[in-house]
Amino acid sequence: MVPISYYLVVSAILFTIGVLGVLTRRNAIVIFMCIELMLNAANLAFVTAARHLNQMNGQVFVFFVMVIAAAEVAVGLAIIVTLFRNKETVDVDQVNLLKY
Amino acid sequence: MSPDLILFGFTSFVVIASALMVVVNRHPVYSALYLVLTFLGLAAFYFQLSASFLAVAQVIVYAGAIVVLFLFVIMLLGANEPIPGERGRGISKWLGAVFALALVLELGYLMVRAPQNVVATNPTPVQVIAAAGETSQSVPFGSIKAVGNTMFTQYLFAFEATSIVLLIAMIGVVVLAKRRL
Repeated sequence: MVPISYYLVVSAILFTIGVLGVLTRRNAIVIFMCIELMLNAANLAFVTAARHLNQMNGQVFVFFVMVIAAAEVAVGLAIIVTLFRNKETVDVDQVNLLKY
Repeated sequence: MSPDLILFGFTSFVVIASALMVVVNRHPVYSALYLVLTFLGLAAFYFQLSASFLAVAQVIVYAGAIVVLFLFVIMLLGANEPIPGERGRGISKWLGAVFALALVLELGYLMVRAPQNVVATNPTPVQVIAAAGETSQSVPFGSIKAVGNTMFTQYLFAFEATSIVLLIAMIGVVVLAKRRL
């Protein structure tokens, strides 16, 4: 039998890897993929809690998180496509028109 | 070394290794493919945690729709070229890793201080109502009947609201992607 805290440790490591990707990478699409990693780490924590507390609420919440993530990916990629149309790049360091 | 522990170790290795490969790769297409592997590993985790419906939903929604969308956009924009100088030089290359290591060590310390060997007991079956006025039946924990019963009784409003969110997202995407409004 696996202790429940092991799953939470994996969720924390996954979340940290996602944060590392968001802060380090310059490609907007890869940043977006790391955001999905963070969402999935939270999903894993939810499912672990549902299993530990023996309630279905955690799993239903994961379902809603999946739905919202799908909607967010669609809108975010549309934004990236529009950005690429105007600036010809997906490098977020080049998107600095509002800078001083 | 119970078989549960071996399975957990193998799945966690797959998930963490492919997540690292997502972050580290220079080509976004390779990152997307490793992301699929991460999602499949997470689906294996959900199966181990008695969430069979969520595991299948994870494969369908994440690996089957979201990553496909990512790949479409990468191919559409031709964004597979590695950005020169993305690696970073000198200290900035390692600064992110140092902070991430600090975060992991903090979280690991919290986990070690938690009560050890708290294993989940066998999940109790969920009581669901098949139809109005009928007696309740018990279904396995994490089955689609259990998820559906909880969602359509306790979280019905949230369910309807997410359908509106999806509609708004669809309209937003069409408006954003049009060349001429």
